[in-house]
Amino acid sequence: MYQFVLPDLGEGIAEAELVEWLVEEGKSVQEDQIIAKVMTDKAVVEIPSPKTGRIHRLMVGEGDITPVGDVLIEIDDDSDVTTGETQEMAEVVDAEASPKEAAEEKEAPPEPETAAPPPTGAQGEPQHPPHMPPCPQAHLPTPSRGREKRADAVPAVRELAKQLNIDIEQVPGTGPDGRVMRRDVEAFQKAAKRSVAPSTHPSVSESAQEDEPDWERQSLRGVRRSIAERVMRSKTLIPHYTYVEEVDLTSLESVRRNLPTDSAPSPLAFIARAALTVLPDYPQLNACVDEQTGEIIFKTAIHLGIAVTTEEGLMVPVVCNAGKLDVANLAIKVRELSERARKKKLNLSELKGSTFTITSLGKLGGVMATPIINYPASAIMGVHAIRTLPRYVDGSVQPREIMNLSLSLDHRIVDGFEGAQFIQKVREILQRADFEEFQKGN
Amino acid sequence: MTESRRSILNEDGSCPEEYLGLIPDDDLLAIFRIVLLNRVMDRRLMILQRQGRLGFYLTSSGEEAVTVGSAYALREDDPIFMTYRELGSLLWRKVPLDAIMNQMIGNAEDVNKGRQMPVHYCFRDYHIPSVSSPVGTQLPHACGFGYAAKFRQTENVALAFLGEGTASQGDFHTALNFSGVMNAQTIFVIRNNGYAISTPASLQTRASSLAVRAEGYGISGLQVDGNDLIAVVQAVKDAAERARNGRGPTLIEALTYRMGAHSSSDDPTRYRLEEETQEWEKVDALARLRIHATWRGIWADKMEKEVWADAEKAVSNAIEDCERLPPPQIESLFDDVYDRMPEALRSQKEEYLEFLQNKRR
Amino acid sequence: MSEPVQMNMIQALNDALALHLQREENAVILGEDVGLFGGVFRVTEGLQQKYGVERVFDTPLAEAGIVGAAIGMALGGLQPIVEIQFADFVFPAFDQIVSEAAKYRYRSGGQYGIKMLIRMPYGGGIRGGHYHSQSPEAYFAHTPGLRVVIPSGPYEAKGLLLGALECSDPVIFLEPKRIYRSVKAQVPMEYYTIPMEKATVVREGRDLTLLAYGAMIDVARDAVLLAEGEGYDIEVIDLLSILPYDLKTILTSVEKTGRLVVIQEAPRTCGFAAELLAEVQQKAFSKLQSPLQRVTGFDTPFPYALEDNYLPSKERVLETLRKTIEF
Repeated sequence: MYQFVLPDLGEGIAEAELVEWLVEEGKSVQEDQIIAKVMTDKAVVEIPSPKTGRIHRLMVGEGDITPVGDVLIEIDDDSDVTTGETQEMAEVVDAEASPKEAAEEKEAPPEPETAAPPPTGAQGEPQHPPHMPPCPQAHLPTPSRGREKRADAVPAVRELAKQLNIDIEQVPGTGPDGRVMRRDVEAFQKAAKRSVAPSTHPSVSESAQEDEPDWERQSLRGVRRSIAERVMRSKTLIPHYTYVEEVDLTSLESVRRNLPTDSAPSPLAFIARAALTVLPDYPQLNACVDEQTGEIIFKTAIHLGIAVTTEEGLMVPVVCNAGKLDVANLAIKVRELSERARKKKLNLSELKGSTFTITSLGKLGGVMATPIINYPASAIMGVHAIRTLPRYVDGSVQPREIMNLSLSLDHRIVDGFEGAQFIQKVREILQRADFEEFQKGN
Repeated sequence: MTESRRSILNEDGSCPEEYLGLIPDDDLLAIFRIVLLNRVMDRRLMILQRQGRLGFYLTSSGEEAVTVGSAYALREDDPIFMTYRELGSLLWRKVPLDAIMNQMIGNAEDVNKGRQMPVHYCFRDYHIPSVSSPVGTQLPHACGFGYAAKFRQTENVALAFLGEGTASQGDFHTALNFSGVMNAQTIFVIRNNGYAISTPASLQTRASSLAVRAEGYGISGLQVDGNDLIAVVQAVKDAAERARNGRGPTLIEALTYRMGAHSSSDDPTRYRLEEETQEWEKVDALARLRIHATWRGIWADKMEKEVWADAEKAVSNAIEDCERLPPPQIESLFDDVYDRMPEALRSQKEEYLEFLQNKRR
Repeated sequence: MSEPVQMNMIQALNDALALHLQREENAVILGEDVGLFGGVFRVTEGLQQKYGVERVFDTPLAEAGIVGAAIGMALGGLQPIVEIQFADFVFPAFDQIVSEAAKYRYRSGGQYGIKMLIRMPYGGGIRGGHYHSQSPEAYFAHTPGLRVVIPSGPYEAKGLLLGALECSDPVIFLEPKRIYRSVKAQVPMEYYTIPMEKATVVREGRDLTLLAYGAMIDVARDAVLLAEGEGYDIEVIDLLSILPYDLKTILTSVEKTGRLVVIQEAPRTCGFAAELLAEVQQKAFSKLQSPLQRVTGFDTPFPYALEDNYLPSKERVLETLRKTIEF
């Protein structure tokens, strides 16, 4: 009997949600056949079978959260009981594969559409230009506690956490040597309370009609859940403030329209390129705070996160060393990442390590927002729709292409003046619309 | 005031007339029965120990003249501070065999609640204070008691037994010294039986006797033939009267012989010769008593056999009764540490009892 | 009821003994130089003159004999009150105390009890060196069957002594000689007792529980005043009884403050503070805000010239308080 445990799916994942079983108990299974889909922070990952045999027992239910190392499935392969993990890294697939497709896949081991690449790139993947160093995701220091180290806390604080039903391992510590202090637990609790449904939600006891409830519960699962956790952590720890400025893109838009259509970078690419030009002068916007040690981590490379709206929620694929890309390559990269994000074909490694994020708040409209910093970082820039609006230029009112930028910043390390200066400089570049400026990297 | 090896009985068992009244015939017979009972108990309980039915035992055979004689010479309510080798005193005081056996076995009926090893007696009702293993600690106790008796103006005398080995302990020195200074109503009786486990008496002191030490403390002292019942009784009686009349304590060194091993853990063949023991057997307490009783015309073989048989039966019954009894209740482990149980001990008890409860489930 | 009187500890103890001898006709006092001389520290002064040489008397110079004889007296219906001249000299009597007095009731199945009190001056601070400064409470605390009490001032001394003299168990009464005379307090003239097994909260506070006994209570008070200046609010408990000790009062306090520091003169390793820390750690664990600490003498024999470096000082205590609260 072979006991297959949930493998380490990469980068210190400690647990995953069993989204869907693709096999049934009693049925036969081939080695490498995909048997399940699991969801980590925000990527859905397929698990291939390690053995050929018969499915003896599914140990985990759909929707259950399972720790790495727990037995997922027992496969009768006529052997003695052993446990093991797959050798390969799991893959990212379209989570909407129908059961029929899954059944077809059972017949023969499927060709992986995209192989899980090592950081340096692999077959089938757009490669990084050879002169660019690989994205050093693994080496980026993150203040969040690695799960190998247990929370440090005195007994009274542990007791408090227990009483508040808080897992103390989740609470970031701001005390000496990263110790979790009472204030940390209390802050965690406050943040949790804020993100929980407000008390205006009807509870069972308050429901006027006891026969038919007028509400429905849905558990936070998968990507939704991991987004919820991330934004809660960001808002709990980072004191946000947002600076909003209007940018006149008229000149830039006319430059853009004069470019050949199929290769014209989007306005977003230009805006990103402008930000990347200014960012090196403002290292505190490409940094984060390590609450454990009380240090500011200034990141030397710029890895640009581009927030993308997908069906499952917001995802932030990362363009490594984005500063080195000119606007054209930046555009290519951003487009490609966005497409793959929408198709849920991103690798886990591509979802981590951003140092500065741009969030395009879409064609829907809006004049400002208070975007939430992608923890751990110190800045996120929101880009709003471009609108034609009347503006006073050279003595007369004219129609101008106006777009707002909303920049949220970590006030611990970025003062208002610096944040404002940054935006002003980005604005200058965009309004100057000197195409050559956009054609070089840092 | 120190004499050496006073004897009254002659080797042939005859006794000067003026001492005949010391122990009337009836009393002599009673003493004889007790001595035989002592012998039977020693033999039977040693067997019991070898059978694993008794954890530990030590005999007092050969020294009964000292132990029974001393008890005889005292009043019923004079406390006897014992070591563990004076069963004869217990038996003379009529401590029931059952009670003695219960202490040996440490069962639920033991008046000491199974707290101590066998032969570590304590029978308050019979004026026998508690015996402990460190030798000699009882000697200052006897001194203090003797002072208390004086203070309270009672006529009680405290008698303390000790072996000649214990006479080397510091407590011996302080006890005798203090009792002299305090003029305590105390008698110290050394059973010089020749051996302290394996150490012969000659290695305990360079002095000519132990009785001579009395002079060093300014108290009365004498040495007697410890197997001579009459001599022992006379000496203790004199000492008791001396004490009761406020003339102070007495040290009596009784020369005798330890017929058996030190204890069930001892093997005397490793340090003394069989021949020596056999020689002594001819003149040990029982032998000398038999000769004297016979000389008095109040003893016969047939009678002795009957007494032996009665003793055997009594001991058998006691053993049987006592082995049937259960051990003390586990809860009693925590009692009697103090007059009233303190909180910390109470919670230890509760915790332990709860542990046992869970174990049973 | 008369007005309380200013007394030092010597006077308070003397008063207690006199009162007890008055009430209890079988109580006697014995020891070296306690009779005519009134004791080297004058604690028994005047008592022989008042109660006679049969009740208050000098013994030969042998601690084992004094305690052993006292046990015999207790068996014989008296209540002996033994003075050991210095706690450092109690060790020859250790056998009688530990093997005999402590175990007598238990081993006799409760047939006998030893109603006896042994008092001795203990502790440092009088330039007494190795043999006039020791604190032996841990040795006795480790012996079931004994009671051990330690007063911290004149008022406590009289009340504790009278309370201990009512007890039917052997009591070790340790008197902090450093403050025999230096501390005066209001002491009631009449008979009163302070219960054994109870600790007293002498100062309420929120931030930390400071536990001490004997002469260290004064050190605790001084440290707490300094701590107040730094904004710390310290609760002080006078243990008073070492064996058995009042765990309940200590736990109530630590559950409130979450922090504990114990001061002990005696050497660190296996000192009585270790027992307190262990028990509190176990029973109040989830309330603890910082590690439990003890400020103690060092693991050396008691020094002569460097005595002041050895004894826990208010500064050393303050530093530990600070570290604990700022943990």
